[in-house]
Amino acid sequence: MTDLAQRYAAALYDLTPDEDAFVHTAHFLLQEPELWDALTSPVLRPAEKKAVLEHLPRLQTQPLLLHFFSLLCDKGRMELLPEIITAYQQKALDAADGAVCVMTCVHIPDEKTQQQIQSLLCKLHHKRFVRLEIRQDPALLGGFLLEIEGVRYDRSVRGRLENLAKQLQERRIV
Amino acid sequence: MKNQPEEIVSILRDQIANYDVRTRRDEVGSVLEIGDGIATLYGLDNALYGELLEFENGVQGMVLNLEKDSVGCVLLGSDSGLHEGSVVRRTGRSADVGVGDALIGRTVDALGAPIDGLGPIETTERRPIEREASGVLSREPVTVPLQTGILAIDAMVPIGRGQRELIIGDRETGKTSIAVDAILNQKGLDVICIYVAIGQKASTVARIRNTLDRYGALKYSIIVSATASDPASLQYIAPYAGTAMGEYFMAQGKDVLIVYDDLSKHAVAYRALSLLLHRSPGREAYPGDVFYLHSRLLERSCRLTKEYGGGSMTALPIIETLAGDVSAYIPTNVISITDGQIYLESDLFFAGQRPAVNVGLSVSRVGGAAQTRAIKKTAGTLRIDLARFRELEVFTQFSSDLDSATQETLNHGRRLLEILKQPLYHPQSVARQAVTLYISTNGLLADVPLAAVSGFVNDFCTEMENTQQETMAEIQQTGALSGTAVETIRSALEEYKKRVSKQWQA
Repeated sequence: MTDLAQRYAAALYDLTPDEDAFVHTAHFLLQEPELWDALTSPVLRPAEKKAVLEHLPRLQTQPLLLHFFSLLCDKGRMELLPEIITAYQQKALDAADGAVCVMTCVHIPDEKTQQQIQSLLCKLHHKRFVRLEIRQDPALLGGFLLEIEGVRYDRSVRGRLENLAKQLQERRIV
Repeated sequence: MKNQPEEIVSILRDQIANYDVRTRRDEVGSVLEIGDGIATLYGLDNALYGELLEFENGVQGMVLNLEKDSVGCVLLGSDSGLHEGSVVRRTGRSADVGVGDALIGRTVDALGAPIDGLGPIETTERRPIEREASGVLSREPVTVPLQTGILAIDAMVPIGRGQRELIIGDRETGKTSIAVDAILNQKGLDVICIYVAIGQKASTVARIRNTLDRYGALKYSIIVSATASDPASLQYIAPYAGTAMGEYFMAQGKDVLIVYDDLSKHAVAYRALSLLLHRSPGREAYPGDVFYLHSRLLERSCRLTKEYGGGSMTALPIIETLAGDVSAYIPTNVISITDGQIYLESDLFFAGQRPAVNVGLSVSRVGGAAQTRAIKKTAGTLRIDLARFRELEVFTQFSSDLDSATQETLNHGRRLLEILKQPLYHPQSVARQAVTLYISTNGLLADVPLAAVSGFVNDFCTEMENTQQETMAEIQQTGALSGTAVETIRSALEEYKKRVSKQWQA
């Protein structure tokens, strides 16, 4: 994530901490290919891009977001929008004292297990809430892998087998 | 060496018993960019400078750059299998190397892994390769000699235990040979020798290993090798790893001799790493801290007080100059760090004066404080005599009619130069050196033909070792030349001359 994207996200968050409004609007812009191409095209002048934005119904009721996207057009930084979204979400998460945990597993655990994991992570990382993003990967063989704030907890079978192999290696080659 | 079956069973038993308990917790990051032995990483917010990281292909790396959003890391191995997004984890420990008695006699790489095909090395502990040098209070003055066995050096540029003496000269002037001879001369003297090869050809390292093995020096030596084919990162850490190995023995009260061959290539490797890490290039494109690179290395060589074990580490760093330029950047840096230098000249080398030590430019800042009494006594006038000889030698080129005093000085100087010549891998004992210096500096070789001086002195010393064993043993053990010993030498010399002088007349 570039410094620039973080600065834009920080400035926007300070003005409008309504995560849903910004993220949904931004995703809308990203998901319309023709619209996105137009907004990021170097051929169109900023004034033309702003004219397009002003005609979008979503932005007509949100003047601050309209100003923000217009600023990005003026500065030629519209292509940073995906990074700005990520940075904005991170800021919102930090402000709410939360964190995102990516859970990789073979089988998706039930609700109760997920809640237990979330509460344990909250305790370990001193967070108010933890959002789980669950991915499946049969290569783990069993168990699960948690990655949160740069820390990885490995309770997978694959991890243990790798650990075992490494211990055997280290005893052979010091 | 394979794992013993009981070891495998014990590991498996442990794993099974703790299967439900252990969760591995690692701080991880991901690779943003990788190439040329440098990886830029994202995450690892708590990584420390100099910390070891482990990549998913098992290769280790060392943190050398800490920036706001990324960490710069040098790979200590191959980058094959790594790509953008590869996971890397902190090990939580700084770069370290295995140390212990098991390293003696072995050839290892910069990470301490064996490369001599003699099986794994069971080291007893690990020491960080970067460590602060001993403080002022824990150091002892350098007063104990470290004999190199090379007459020119022991007589005029004496080295003491705990000293840093630079060996500097152009390529192919005998720098490595001096270091190897110094190692060979430590046989039986309870000195652990470490030879660190940085950026050398692998064939050169193999040749040195064979030489040490042939003369029985491998029994007390360790070779740390980071050859020219190794990545710059390994060449960078090799001297620090070797020093860490030496510090293990020094802490036990032992004496260590460490040779860094050579620090010019070490500086070049560090320059490559720094440029790849986008650090600003300074003079000759070296980074601004290239002085600190060598000063923190060489400051770790010292002599410790008895309270700290009483051990010592003597360093012989080697620097290669270009066209004899000792005023270049890296040579001047290292000259200012070390406690003296042995300057080798190509002209002397090709003129047959080997070792090609330029006596005028070579100096030992420790001086006579680290010289055996016998050598100090007999080599006292050597430098002055040679200086006088050099001054007068110029006259021989344009004047054939010289007065007798001048002729005498010239003849004396030529004989001194002859006795300073020494073949490779033939270090001389203290007794032998003392006898040689006594008879030469006292003008007792004036009647020996110049062409026969070298052979005469060599044979006479052998004769002394065979027939005057008590005297030679006394000189060797006490390091002093008593009045009785002097008389014995003089009378033995007279007798020997009578026997061999007929050959000169023939």
